[in-house]
Amino acid sequence: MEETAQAALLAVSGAGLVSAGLRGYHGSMATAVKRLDLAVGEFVEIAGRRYEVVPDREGGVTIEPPITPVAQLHARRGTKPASTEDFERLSADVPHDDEG
Amino acid sequence: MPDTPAGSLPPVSIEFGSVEWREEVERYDPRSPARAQAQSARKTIEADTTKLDWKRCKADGPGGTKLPGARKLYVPLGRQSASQAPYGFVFQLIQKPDDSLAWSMIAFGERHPADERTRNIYERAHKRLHGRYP
Repeated sequence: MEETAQAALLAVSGAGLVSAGLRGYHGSMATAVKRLDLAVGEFVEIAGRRYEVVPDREGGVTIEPPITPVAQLHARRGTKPASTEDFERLSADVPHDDEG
Repeated sequence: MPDTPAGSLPPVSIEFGSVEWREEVERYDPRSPARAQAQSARKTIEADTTKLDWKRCKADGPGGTKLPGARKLYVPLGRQSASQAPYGFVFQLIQKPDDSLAWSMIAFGERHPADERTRNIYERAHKRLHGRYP
């Protein structure tokens, strides 16, 4: 995942970005459309906030605030996932349900 | 606040990382029920005065979610049905630099979002674990 791909967006329209709540100018101003060639996994910055390009459920893309992967957090903190053995030792009596 | 496993196993702490808290809980409006419920549940967990009703997450779950090594708590704590506990925390068991173990919160969110565009808590947990949605 490339985290350095960023773009400052001033006015944006388009299916994916509209779904994130971004719309063009209204009122007396003409709608300004800036077409973006973005791929899943890229990041954009809008008004100082960072967003990640992610797939939507309809075959397109949308943007949302990023979710920092645990691998990055572990690297920063010097932690790591516990072993399967430790997990099973602690969770042997813990039930499942069907949700996930 | 330790989660004491059965037998003579040492207690395992429960941790809420600042990055995860910001990304998972503070994405909600400060006045939203979701955020209020998360804050209340965290306070109860950290007070360590209530037995927690843990459930294991599924290594191969619905919708392609894969959450091995993870457990969850439904929120509000102590309730089970999705109507009474619409939110949840997912935790990953981690090993810290001093070799101690901890349950680290990796996701908070809705179990069954009414808006189909909203990612549920299992999808969010999967993305944090694997870097992408299932």
